[in-house]
Amino acid sequence: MSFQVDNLSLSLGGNKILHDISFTLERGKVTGLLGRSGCGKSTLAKAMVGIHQVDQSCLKIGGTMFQPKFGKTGHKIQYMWQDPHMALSPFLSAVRCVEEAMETQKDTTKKQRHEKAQDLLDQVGLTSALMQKRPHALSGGQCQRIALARAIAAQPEFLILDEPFSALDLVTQKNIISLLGNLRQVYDFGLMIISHDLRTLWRLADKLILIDQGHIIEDRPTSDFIHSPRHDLTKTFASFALAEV
Amino acid sequence: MVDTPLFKLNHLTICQQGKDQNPIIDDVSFSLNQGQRLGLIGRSGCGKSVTSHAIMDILRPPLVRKQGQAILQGQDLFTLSAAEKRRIRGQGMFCIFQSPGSALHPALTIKQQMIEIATVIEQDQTTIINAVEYAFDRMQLPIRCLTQYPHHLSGGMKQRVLMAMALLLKPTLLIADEPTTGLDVLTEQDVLKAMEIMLEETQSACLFISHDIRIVKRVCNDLLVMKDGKIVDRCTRDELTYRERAETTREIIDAMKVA
Amino acid sequence: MKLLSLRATPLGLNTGVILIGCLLLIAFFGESLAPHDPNKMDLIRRLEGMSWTYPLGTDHLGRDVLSRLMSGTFLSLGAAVMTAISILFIAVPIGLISAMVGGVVNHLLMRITDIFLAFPMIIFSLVIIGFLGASLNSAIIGVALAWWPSLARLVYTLTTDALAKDFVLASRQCGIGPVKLVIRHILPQILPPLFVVMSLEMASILLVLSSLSFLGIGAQPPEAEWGAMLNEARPFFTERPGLLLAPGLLISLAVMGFNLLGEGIRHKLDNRSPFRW
Repeated sequence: MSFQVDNLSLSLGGNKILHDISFTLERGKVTGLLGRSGCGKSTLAKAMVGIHQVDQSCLKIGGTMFQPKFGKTGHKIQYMWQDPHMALSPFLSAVRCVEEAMETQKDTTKKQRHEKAQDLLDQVGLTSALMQKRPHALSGGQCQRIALARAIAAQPEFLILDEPFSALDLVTQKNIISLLGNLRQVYDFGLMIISHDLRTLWRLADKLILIDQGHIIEDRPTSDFIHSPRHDLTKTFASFALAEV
Repeated sequence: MVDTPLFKLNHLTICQQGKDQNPIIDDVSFSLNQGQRLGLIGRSGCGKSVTSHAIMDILRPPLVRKQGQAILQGQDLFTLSAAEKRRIRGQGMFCIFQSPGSALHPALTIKQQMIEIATVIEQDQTTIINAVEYAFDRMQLPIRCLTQYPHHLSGGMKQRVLMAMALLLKPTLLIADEPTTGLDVLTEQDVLKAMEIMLEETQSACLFISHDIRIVKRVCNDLLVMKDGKIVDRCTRDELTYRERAETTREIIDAMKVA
Repeated sequence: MKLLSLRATPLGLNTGVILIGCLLLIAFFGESLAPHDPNKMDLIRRLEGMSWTYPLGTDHLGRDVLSRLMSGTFLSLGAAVMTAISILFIAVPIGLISAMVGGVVNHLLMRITDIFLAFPMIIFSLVIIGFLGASLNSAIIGVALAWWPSLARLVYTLTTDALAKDFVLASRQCGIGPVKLVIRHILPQILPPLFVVMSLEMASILLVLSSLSFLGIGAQPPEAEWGAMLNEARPFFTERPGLLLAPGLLISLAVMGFNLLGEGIRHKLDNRSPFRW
């Protein structure tokens, strides 16, 4: 099963942001979407979940046409926001927040959802004392874990993480990376991680896509991308990844 | 001659008002010499930014300073009057914050803001213009930016505009609070390069706050590691090896290697 | 500057709470606590000064002023509260629906609001009152109908703002329906600021209702409403200025109470968001 993007172009407010983007996400694989800030990475992701409208023939899941509708197709593809504190409701506790994501799933009782939410939070490494807390009492890393648990709770086939590391400190980044590594062993969703920093991304991703000014300029498996870069920008990014630390 | 440091922070302690719990900043002291670059690293929430806010004396209400002195060239910043503080800010002390967007006036062109800053040190118009253009040149900012408004510029450019301001003012002490957070990696390099040039030229003492040890290592010679409001480790850049360091330091070095 | 800081300190909030609290107590128990029957006339002792029997004197029909003020509190405050509730009943649904549905509905509702906003508010309420006939009820309806558009605009703005929050989008992405969204995520965001605005608006509503009664097109004599009392006392101002001063002072106190309360709550809410470092 794969998520296919075919010749996707998008204009916002008269400016053409994305030009003929084509690539494929595979289930069970991690794809890294790389680029400088303002290159159109987030716009592309938002188009894929239906926040921005695109031509319906652009997107396919498993070969059939897919029209993303925000709020309706959350079980197919989920988008996770960048700032973990902003993306969680200040009025709901962690466990309520995860429960909410399962509310639309048929044939589940409130109790089942509660238990499932606790399971998921446990899986992302939140202690049961923290599950009752609300976001402002939690750190950025803990909030990011809750947001992840919520995204997983919606049981999407594909999951897009928008800059999941940039609001976190280095130690927390490392912990979240190892968490993502564990999660991909358990679930078989297709993961797309948007980042501007190859240093955090390259150990996790199977494939890397580089976008510059709305064009895809490189789309190759990670090792090829890093060890034999074709474009100058790729070289620059790759050199950071390999730089002595 | 007794060698007194340029800036000295003595026993800074900050608590949350009305709550009798552990202090947020617990007895933090350090000193800075002319031209020294000191890095303050720690995980988020450890109190790095609160320290910088305390030095600038802009703590937000629930936080109060329990004790401490911040001595810049023999003057205790905390005991100054409001007018004296205003005089110190700028040429005495300059601060570059994490979000450059809110540090620039949105309704004035960059040029107007640069000139406003420059009049602090110089009155003659042509000299000012020359100085501003020189500063822009050094920061590798295109001159056309001068006529633009802040929202036209990218995050990295705004940060470099602030550096250009610092270049004009030549502050005694420069505080940079996470200046590259939120910027992409390539922009980060540009900003760091610009910062290098600026510090070289102004010879300011610099307190550089970041969670990213890779950046701190590039900029600073001396490091302080902070955890839960306490300084847990002090070392120079060359001493930053894995062994013999405090646990927090090891954790941070560790993260750098994997991340 | 001094006054400004006074309004923002807990002292200001406390004063507001005490003032409004006292007024509420009087509103509910004033009638039974009043020393005399507020409508009992004693034509021999009309326009008397302060005395032990009549602590604030008597009016032109020999009625006890203090008793009338106390029993009038319920009517005056109740009218203002009713008006505020009616305004909210119109403004909140219109603002919410407009922001949530968007598109044509939004345009339609907001243009209607704009048309209402284009009329001078006081003249618009005068027209409605003229149409319905002068009484306190029609004053309430008139003021509410003229007042809701600005509140609807505010609710609309607050809701649009609340809808754009990442966590609201995240809930929508998980398929949460509009009703649950409003109850769970929108109302908790917009109610606190709305509450502050309403308690500030209460002061103005109170003033407008009193003014209408003073002009003789609100509460009608012999109803003991503060504004109506002012109106009745008008011809005797030179003889007994106290007759005007007493209800006037009470109106001012109530207005100040609502202002201090609103300002104080706003200050509390501003400090509420947890600081981060």
